[in-house]
Amino acid sequence: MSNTDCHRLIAAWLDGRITEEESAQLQQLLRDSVEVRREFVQYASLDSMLREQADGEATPLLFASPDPVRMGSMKWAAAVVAFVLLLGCLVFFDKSETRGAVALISGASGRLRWTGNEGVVVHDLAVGDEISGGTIDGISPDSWFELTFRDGSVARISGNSMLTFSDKGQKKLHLKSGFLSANVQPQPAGKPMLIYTHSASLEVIGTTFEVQAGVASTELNVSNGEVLLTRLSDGESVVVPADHRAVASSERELLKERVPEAVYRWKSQLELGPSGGHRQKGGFYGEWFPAKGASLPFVKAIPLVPRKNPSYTLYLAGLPVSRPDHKPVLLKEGWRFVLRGRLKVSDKIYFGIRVKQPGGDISGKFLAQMQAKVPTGNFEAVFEAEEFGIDPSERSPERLPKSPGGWLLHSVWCFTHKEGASGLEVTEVELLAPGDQPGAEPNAGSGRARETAFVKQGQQPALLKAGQDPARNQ
Amino acid sequence: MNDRPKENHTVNDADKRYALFTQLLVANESQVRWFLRGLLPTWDDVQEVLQTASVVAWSKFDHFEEGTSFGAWLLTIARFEALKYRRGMARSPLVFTDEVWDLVAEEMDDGEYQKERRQHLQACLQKIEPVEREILLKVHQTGVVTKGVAKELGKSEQAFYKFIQRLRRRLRDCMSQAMAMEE
Repeated sequence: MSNTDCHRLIAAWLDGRITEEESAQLQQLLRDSVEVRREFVQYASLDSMLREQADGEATPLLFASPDPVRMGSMKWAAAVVAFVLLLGCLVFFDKSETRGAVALISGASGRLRWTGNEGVVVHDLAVGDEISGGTIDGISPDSWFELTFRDGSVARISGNSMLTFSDKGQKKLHLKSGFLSANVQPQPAGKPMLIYTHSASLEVIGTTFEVQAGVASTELNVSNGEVLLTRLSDGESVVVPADHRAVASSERELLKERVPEAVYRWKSQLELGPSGGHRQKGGFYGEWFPAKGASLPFVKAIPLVPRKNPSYTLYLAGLPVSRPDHKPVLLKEGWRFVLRGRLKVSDKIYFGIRVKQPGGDISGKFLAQMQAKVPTGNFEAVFEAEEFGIDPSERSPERLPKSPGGWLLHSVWCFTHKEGASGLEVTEVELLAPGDQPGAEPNAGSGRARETAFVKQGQQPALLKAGQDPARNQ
Repeated sequence: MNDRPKENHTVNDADKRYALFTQLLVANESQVRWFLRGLLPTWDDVQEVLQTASVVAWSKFDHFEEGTSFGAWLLTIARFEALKYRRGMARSPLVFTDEVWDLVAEEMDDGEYQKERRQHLQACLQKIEPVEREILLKVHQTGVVTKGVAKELGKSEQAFYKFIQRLRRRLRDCMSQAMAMEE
């Protein structure tokens, strides 16, 4: 066989148009000749280099902001030179086809990091940017990211979550950790959206659902339509219909169950672990310390530097909201939060919540703040419903109601932002329904004991209300 | 309370570890693509396996020893993931037999040599006529169908494939010559 024939076979393989007979010839050559193998390797690596170069030039984010942090200067320079060359010659090609973008960023807030398939790392994602597949990483409890695919399907992650996605005719999402909600348009026949976690795979034809992925389990809640959930450890599957949930874990039977009715009260259970004993860790931020002697378990706020305001350092603690009975927690009109903890340095405390529209796919953040500094030592601060406003970091506030009453509670967090560490430690957060007294929440059986432990330390907490001067409470 | 340090450190160290991971990934992922391209039939397959390998590498990053070769470690993971991926593929003329797959994998596993070749790509590309160069890059873009480009240019499919094959060969020869001159 001539060299030309050999090159033709290699080219046919690389172009994906090789016939069965030609493939047999090529494989015979590859088996018999080290020279042919070397030729093959040279052409295969050249093909790879050309594709990288061609795709690199077509990635829109590379050109949206020539920030040297985003890519190496050499790579950037090469891409710019090539892009200019391309521009002059390829005007007759359909641009939307060449760009390779699979989705549009339709919402984003908090600290996020996107790593494109080409390895480009972008921190300042902007609404309206088109992106190709890659990995989006929420790196703070208030992170939120919304992706709209070309067919109108919407996927969101919130909190400390990590999602890898692609759409090459079939949407494939890998939720490494955290919380994902999605509203999926009907997908092409035979090409359902596929979602993978460590412990399960999901096939979605078209529906609305939420997934929370932990290290060893995956929790699925379906609002509309149905989702096929498969446990990876043994291949067991269950179809989860609307208003049902299922948990894929090797420790329990894979069964669908009706989503329980919502409740209006919730109390953190830090004695059970940083996430209140719930397997999932999404929404947790801080450093958790267990109970020690008479001392209650607590979460210590740790630094968080907002990307948009790097001159500030927030000291933040965040907790996911979940109950052992899996009942969703709803904010009933007249709700209020009680935050208990300690401060080493007097400071103002901000209290934030993430909420989600029941049965819908909109979520958002609301924030309340103390008007005056909280004194050092133990405190008990109350944040009333009317003191909450839309979080200033929300990029699409018009989509949110003025008050989150009637919405589902997803996570809570609090922070201080003076120059140094305030030593903020959170021992308990409680959501109360109208008329409730603090400590009345029934899901935390040890509530009274904890109050006792608190008093045992000989320091009655200051009872504060947002908007009050704490000095008058002492 | 054994899980406490894990929880504590996860939040603080995650940023640093992730930054290190992405830095190493960016520096080495091209090498993995080159390696995978000779083993997998399409560029989509390459991207798919690289993505999976990256996720696996991140999940096992705790086991990676700093100071050792991340590229070699990632290649090992990618090779394993490619093998798994290949097993799931339907029988096709594009899928090599096990024997050929192993032989090609051995040959592909020389990242340094490919890196050196890569250095000559830009210079060699500049030796091709601009219009031809742009067409060559165009047909290598993700999602672009070569037949469609041929049609737009008013060329027959067969003639266009031969034209692309000639351009690749010129590039390949140019890069080989440049390598030989260096030696």
